[in-house]
Amino acid sequence: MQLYSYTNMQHNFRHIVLPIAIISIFFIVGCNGCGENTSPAVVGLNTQITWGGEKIAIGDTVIDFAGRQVRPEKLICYISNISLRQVDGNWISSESLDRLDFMPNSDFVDGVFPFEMIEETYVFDSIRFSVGVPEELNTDVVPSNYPNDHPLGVVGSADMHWPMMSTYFTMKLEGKVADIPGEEIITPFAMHPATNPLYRTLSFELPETMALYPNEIRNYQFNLDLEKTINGNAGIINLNEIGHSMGNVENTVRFVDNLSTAWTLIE
Amino acid sequence: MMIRCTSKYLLTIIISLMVLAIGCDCGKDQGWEATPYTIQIPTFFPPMDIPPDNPMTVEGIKLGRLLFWEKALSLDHSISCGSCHSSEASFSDPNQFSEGINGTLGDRNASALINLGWSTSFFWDGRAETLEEQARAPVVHPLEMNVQWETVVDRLQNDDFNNGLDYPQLFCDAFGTHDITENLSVKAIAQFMRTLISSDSKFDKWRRGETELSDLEYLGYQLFLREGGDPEVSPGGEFGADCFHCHGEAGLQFSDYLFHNNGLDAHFENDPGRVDVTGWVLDSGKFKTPTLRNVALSAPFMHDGRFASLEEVIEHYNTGGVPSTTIDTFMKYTTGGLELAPQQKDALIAFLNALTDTTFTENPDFQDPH
Repeated sequence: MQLYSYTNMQHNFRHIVLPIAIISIFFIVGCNGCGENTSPAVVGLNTQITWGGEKIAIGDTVIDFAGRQVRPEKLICYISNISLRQVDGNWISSESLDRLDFMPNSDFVDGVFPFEMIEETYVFDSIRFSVGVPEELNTDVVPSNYPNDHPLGVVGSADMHWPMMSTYFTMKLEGKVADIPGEEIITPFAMHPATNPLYRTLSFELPETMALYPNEIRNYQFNLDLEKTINGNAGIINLNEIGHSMGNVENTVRFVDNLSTAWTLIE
Repeated sequence: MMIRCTSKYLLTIIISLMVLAIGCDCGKDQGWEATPYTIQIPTFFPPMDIPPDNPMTVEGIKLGRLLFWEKALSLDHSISCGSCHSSEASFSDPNQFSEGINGTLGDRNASALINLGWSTSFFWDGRAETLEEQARAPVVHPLEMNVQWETVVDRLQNDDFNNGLDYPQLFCDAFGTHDITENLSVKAIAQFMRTLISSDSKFDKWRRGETELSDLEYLGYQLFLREGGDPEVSPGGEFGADCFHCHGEAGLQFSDYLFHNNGLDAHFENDPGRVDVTGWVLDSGKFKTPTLRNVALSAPFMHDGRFASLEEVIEHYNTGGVPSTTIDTFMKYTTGGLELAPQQKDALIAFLNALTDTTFTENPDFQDPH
């Protein structure tokens, strides 16, 4: 009886349990293969800078609304929470962050924002992103807690960490301006918006609905018109009076409010 | 039975001989393995990125230290890396310009070697992007050690300078080969330099809650963090010293790793600085922000060592610097400088002195082993 039973068990194992187990493993692995559908898509934010509609590079000399020569020398900003609005009205966020560092002699910069794909396809009609670091990441910050290649890490945030307030700058625009048209470009200005009240979210309607699939890389071309940041819908900023924006809260607010019209979606 | 027993003995002898043979040759593919070394990251410091092709090992660091202090790395056997990067001066040179072989003078002040494992570029103009690349350059520089690497490798390989060290074996211990190369040499030196970590100044201890800063030191720290200038004439000013914009405190490294023109000169013919690397004209006159760690030990200051004391440095910033096309926007050259009062200058110096770490400069693991 015992022998029979053992043999029977062996038979059952070989012919019933084992195939079921193999098929189960196959299914489990197969389902895991669905992970391919959850692979992130990537949305690229390619931003080109202009001045009054004309392409410029950092270091170029341009003319402001008062006819004064202006030379932007540094432009860096954090972009976060790039989000897509699905046609049903729901927003999905990449919950990612990148630093746009406009290099000398270059008129554009790329930001990369991976989207975890929960659904197989997103069909969306609007895109939005925020300029600055989200509040939850921007209070009592410790850059050394991030890896060095992270935009908020010590190296990644070089020049963008404000130790006094333990926060990150939203954006930095620095350069020099002539006091009078035609004179030497010598007066420094530094627009350094920081802290959470100066975080701004910008939204853009797409000309037509777009689909986003797993593994897809979708680039959007944006334009940042620096002239509009100092002469925009929120008002005018005299760069030769700004010095360091920290003492010019009204101007700093004006600067970040002007971003809503300074930043436009090209395609 | 006798035959089986003899076979066993023979087998044992053969295996033992094979083991011995493998042990004698440390070829990489024959079981060589160096002892991994894990860098202890100090509190509040960021992670250190180690190049995957140059992992830290005990043997590699030991070799790197020997090479760092090895005078055979100069043409006439007169100087080593350590000759211009003296440990008492926080691995910098107390002379304005370092003396190369035959008394030739360099044209920039030798930088302090501190916490380089966190740095993203090397030399005052940032022309080297890795420590390995940095370690390569002074050996062949005509104003420094002025010798070809082939010569150095030959010396180390053949021990023709009779210093009693078995460099081929040391390389074998570190890298698994007796064949000495330039690349392995700079890798070893870079490993050693990554261990040159300073994290035990009074300021560090204060940050860790182990001690108190004096009132004067704390005032200096506050000035360090505050915007410079009188707000009536310098918008945004807070009567601070405005150090933090460049000597960022993030990760306690006191450098933003970037390049700035801090208003030393109106023209840059003598030393164009960063522009020689990037070619971008607005990088003219810009130099890498040095760390402030051990700044009180690493005089003279600036890329050309023009200031002999911290007082002179502070006075320079206090006056606002010399205007030029590329001067940093945070220099107060249009508004009369920082306008620090004498007591504020004293406070700033007290704070800078609190960044002194003599456990670093006196660390026996960093000294000349020859």
